[in-house]
Amino acid sequence: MTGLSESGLSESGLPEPGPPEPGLWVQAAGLLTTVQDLGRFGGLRYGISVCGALEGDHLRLVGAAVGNAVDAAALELSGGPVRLELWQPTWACWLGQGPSSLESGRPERVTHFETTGRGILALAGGIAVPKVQGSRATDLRAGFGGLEGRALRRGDFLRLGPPPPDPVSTSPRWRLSPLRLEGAVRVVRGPEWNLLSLETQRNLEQIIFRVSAQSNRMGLRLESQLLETHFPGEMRSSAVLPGTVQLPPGGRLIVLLQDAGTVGGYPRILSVAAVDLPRLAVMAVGSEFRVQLISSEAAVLALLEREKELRTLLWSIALRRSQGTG
Amino acid sequence: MLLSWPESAAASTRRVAQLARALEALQPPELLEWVPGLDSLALLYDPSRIGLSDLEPLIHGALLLELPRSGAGESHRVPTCYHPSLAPDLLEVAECLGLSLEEFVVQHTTCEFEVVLLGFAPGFAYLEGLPENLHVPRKASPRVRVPGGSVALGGAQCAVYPLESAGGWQLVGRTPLRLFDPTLERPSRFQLGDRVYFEAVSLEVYRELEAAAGLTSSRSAL
Repeated sequence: MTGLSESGLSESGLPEPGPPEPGLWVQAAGLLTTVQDLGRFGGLRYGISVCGALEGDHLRLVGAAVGNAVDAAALELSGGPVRLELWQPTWACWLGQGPSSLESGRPERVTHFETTGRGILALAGGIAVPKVQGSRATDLRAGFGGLEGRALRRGDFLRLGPPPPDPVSTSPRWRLSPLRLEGAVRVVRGPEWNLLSLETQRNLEQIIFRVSAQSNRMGLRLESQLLETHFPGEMRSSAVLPGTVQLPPGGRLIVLLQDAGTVGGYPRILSVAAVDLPRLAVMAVGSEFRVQLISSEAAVLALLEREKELRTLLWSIALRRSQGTG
Repeated sequence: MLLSWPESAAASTRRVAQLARALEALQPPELLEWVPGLDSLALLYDPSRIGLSDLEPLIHGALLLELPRSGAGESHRVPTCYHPSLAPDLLEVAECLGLSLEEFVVQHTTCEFEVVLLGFAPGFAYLEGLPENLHVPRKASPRVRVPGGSVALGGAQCAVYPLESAGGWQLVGRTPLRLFDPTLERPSRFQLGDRVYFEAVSLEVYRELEAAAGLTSSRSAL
């Protein structure tokens, strides 16, 4: 699980052909490539962040496409040149944006992967790092989970788990399409919604929000007109989650994402509907969007509907795999 | 689902701690997770498995659970070195409070603290019990790097930074105790409702304890 040992390096800095064990060598690591799964639950009450893939729904799809278990870890790429060398032909599925050596959504057996885009890459067997607090997700802030609690670097070697039973003998003809956002980002009122001025409450759906360059896996900072509040001073710290929308005194919203802390003291004006959060979380810097206020019942319904779609898709992937064709 | 208590600060903190302890004892399978705040408790559930109305009987049940009241938590003695080389804000804080360094250490080590919240960072415990004459404002601009083990004051509260992180509290001491270990089933040494006392140790004793704990003062991961 560690970086490449010195003895494995040739004079050119490239590794000698090693033992043919399932694994991958990072030749270029991109801006921020991390080992992620569906996140870490059970430790929020000790201050442990959820972490996990920003696009958990996509992770489930690509994982299923290569036959992985639901708790298997994949790689989340956030852009910049990434080059991976597989040490043996391995089923891989990439769902992402930007040019890549592997067509997005189509599982294939590869020995090499290259992209400059953002997305999720699943490899058969999953990334074999140990589970910490029940998850393989990287906690960048606290420095544990994933590969040594950090982003991947050039020269890292990652082992893969034992490949799942592999009934797909020929490249399947089917292809996954990425889930998309239709229209505005759906949001529900947060616990401190009433701290927003009445005028802002009324105009909220007309406001155009833009993703700021200061965003990261902890939170998406939004640029917009300043939002007015009647803020009573310091709030007593209370739980926050991925999707919680905070309004700090500066008047600009922050959408908390997977790496956010577990409690906060800023008013929680809104929550992003869980069904739309993955799409919002990976919006490119400068993207603009509006929000649509819905009831929490409607948000739950939308999530359940998406869950049904996803499960149908997961079953059909499993069926196609077992039939060996598409 | 977010439960909140619009009562006085002390009363609501007690209620939250009581319910959180009940949930800890029950470990209800309906819940993914629960997150205590200072006057609130968030319950996380999977809407594809249960509905909001299913939570009501659970909460009523948990509130009825008879648990020993406060004082039931563990007690922790935290060896702390109050040497300016490990406590960069100590002299300034003492001066601001109108105390000598020795007076500050005596007062801080006679406080009885209670863990009222875990959060901000893994294992970061908000400790209440600081007398008013030891309240100091947070730093005007937060430090980029606060070493793990730093004992800190922020407003009416005291805390120990378990891991190196950024932070705006005043650093008045350092403990070699490891407060957070992700490899343990209960990763946080402090739990809600626990009592915490600080004990002054010399720089030599601190170094010995630190070496014994195998804790290095610099972490590269952050």
